[in-house]
Amino acid sequence: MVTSGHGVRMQDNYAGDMAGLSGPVSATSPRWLRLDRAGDTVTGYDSTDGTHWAKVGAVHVAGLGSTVQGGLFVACPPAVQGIGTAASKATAVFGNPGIRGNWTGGDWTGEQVGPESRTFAGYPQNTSGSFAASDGGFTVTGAGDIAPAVRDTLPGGGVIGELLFGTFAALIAVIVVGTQFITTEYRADMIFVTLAASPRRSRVLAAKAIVLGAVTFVAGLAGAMTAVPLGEWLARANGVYLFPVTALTQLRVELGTATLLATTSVLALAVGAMFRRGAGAVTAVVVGIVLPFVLVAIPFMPAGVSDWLTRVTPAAAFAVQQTLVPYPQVAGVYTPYNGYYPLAPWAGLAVLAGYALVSLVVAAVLLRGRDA
Amino acid sequence: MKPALHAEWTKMRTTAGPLWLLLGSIVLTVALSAAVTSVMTCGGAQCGGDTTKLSLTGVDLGQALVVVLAVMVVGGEHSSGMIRTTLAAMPRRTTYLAAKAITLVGVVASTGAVAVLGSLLAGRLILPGRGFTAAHGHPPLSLADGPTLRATVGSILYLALIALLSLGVATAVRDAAASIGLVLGLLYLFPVLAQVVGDPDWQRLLQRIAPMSAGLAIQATTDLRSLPVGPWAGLAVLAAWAAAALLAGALLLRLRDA
Repeated sequence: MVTSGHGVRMQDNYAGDMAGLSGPVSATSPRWLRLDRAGDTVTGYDSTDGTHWAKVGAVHVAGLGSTVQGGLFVACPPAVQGIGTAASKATAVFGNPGIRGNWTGGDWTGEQVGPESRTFAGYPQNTSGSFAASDGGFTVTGAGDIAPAVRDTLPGGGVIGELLFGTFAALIAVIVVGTQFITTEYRADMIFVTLAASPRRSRVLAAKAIVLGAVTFVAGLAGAMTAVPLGEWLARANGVYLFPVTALTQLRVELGTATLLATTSVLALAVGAMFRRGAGAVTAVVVGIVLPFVLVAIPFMPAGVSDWLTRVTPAAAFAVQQTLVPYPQVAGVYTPYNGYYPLAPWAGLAVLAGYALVSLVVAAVLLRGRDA
Repeated sequence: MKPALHAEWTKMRTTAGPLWLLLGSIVLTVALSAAVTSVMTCGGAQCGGDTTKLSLTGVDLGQALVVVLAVMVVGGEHSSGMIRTTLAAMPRRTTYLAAKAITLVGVVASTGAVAVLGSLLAGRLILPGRGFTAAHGHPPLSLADGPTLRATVGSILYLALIALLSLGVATAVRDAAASIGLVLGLLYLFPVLAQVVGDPDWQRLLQRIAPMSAGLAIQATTDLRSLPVGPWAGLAVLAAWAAAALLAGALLLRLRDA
C-alpha cells in the first residue's frame, strides 16, 4: 500500500510490516504497486513509472487457497488525539488495475470491509465510505485500519497484567510482613538476643533477606499461577476478549510477579532495618511503589512524565507484567496507563532490584555502625 | 473531657514525631502539587482540565504522612505499653478515644490548611506560565471562586477525615505497621482497581464507594455532572468510612483488654 507519511509499505497477517519506496505521493508523483503469486508465496514490488520494478518483500501465506480475492482498498487509522483516538477517513484515486495470469475476475464491486469488527473506529460524523469508477480507474473512500488491535482500539479487551491486579493487594501485605520481619525484633528487644547469638550483623541481615525472599517467591508464584488461569477462565466465561499471549510469555509474567513480590519484601526488610520502626518503613515503601500509579492515572499527565515515573521509581517493576505489544506502524496511545511500559520486562524488574540492593547495603552499613 | 484533651495535647506537643510528620506532610503536599502543575502544558486555544484539582494533587501524597501520624498516635501507646498507664489514668475509654480524635482533627486540619493553601498558591503562580491563562479559558485560581473555595475547604476536611479513618483502624488493629498497610491499601488500591476494571458500571461503582476516589471528588470544579459521585456526597462517603472505622475501634477498645 501507499501511505502519505511513511512511503510504500507491504504488510501481511496484520502484524508484519516492510518498507518500500519512501517519499510523499501525489497526482504528479504516483506509485505503481504489484503483487506476484507463486504457490503460497506472495511477492510485492513497487515502481515510480510502471516499468522499472523494485522488490519490496515476499511473504509466505500458509494455506493460501487456489481461489483468492484481490482488490483495491483505502484504510485510514484513527488519529491520536489527546488521551484517546478519533476516527478519520481518507480518499484515494487509483488507475486501472491490471491483472495477468489465470485471473478470471474483472467485475469490480465496492464493499465496506469489517464494519462489524469490534475494533472499527467508524467514520467521522456525517461521512461514509464510497466507491466509484472514474476514468478507467476508481475513487475509493475508506476508514479504519487493517492492523493488530492495540489498547485504545479495543478498550474492553483484557490482558494478563489486569488479571493479576491482586498483585497490588499482595504487595501491601508483603511490605508489612517484610518490614515487621526486622522491626518486631526491635520492638520486642529480640534484636539484642539475635545479635548476641550471631554477632556478624551483615550475615543476620543477609539470612533474613534470603529466607524472606524465598518464602515470598514461593507464595507469590503459587498465587500468580492460580490467579492467571482462574482469571482467564472467568474472563472467557463472561465473554471478555483477552489479548493473546504465548505460554512462554505467560510463564514470564507469573515468574516475574513472584520475583516482584520477593524483591519488594527484601526492599521492605532493608527499609525496615534502616528505620527500625514499622510505621515509617511501610509508608515509604508503599508510597514509593503505589503512588506512581496514582499519578500516572491523572488525566492530561504528559506521556514523558508517565514514562519517567515508570522508568525510575520502583513501580518500573510492573513492566514484568506487560504482555501488550506496541506496533510502530499502528498509531496508538502507548502509555503506562494503557499498559505499555517504557522499559523491557526484566529491565523494569532490575530497577526494583537495584532499589532493594542499594537499600540492603545501606541497611547493612547502618546495622554495623549503630548500637542495636 | 478537659483533662483528657489536655493530656492528649501534651502528648502530641511534646513528642518529636508528630511535628516532623506534619511538617513533612506540608512539604510533600506542596512539592508534589508544584511538580505536577509545572509539567502540565496547555497548548491549544481550548484545553480541558481542572486546574484547581490539578493544583491539589499533592494531597494524594501528603495524606500518607497524615495516615502515619494518626496511626502512631494510637500505635505508639500500644508498642511502648503506655496504653496501660493512659487507661489507668483515664478509665473511660470512649473519652480517651474522643480526646485523641479531637486533638488529631485540630492538628491535621490546621496543618492541612497550610498545605492546601500552599498548593493552591503554587498552582496560581505556576499555571499561567504553562499556558493555562485566562485567554485559554483558565482564569487564575482564586478563593473568591465558589467551586475553588469548596475544593480548598473540602481538601482540608478530607485530610481530617483520613486522620479519623486511620485513628479508627489503628485503634481496632493496634499494630502500627499493619494498620498503615491496611489504611494505605484501602486508599490506594481502589483507584488502581478502578483503572483495571473494564466494565464502566463497575468502574463508577468503585469510584463511588472508594474512600480516596469518592473523598477527592470534593476537589473537582469542572464537569461535575460527569463525576461518578458529587463533591459533597463523595466527602460524605469518606465520612461514612471514617465513622465506621471509629465505631469499630471504639467498640473493640471497650470490649478488649488493653
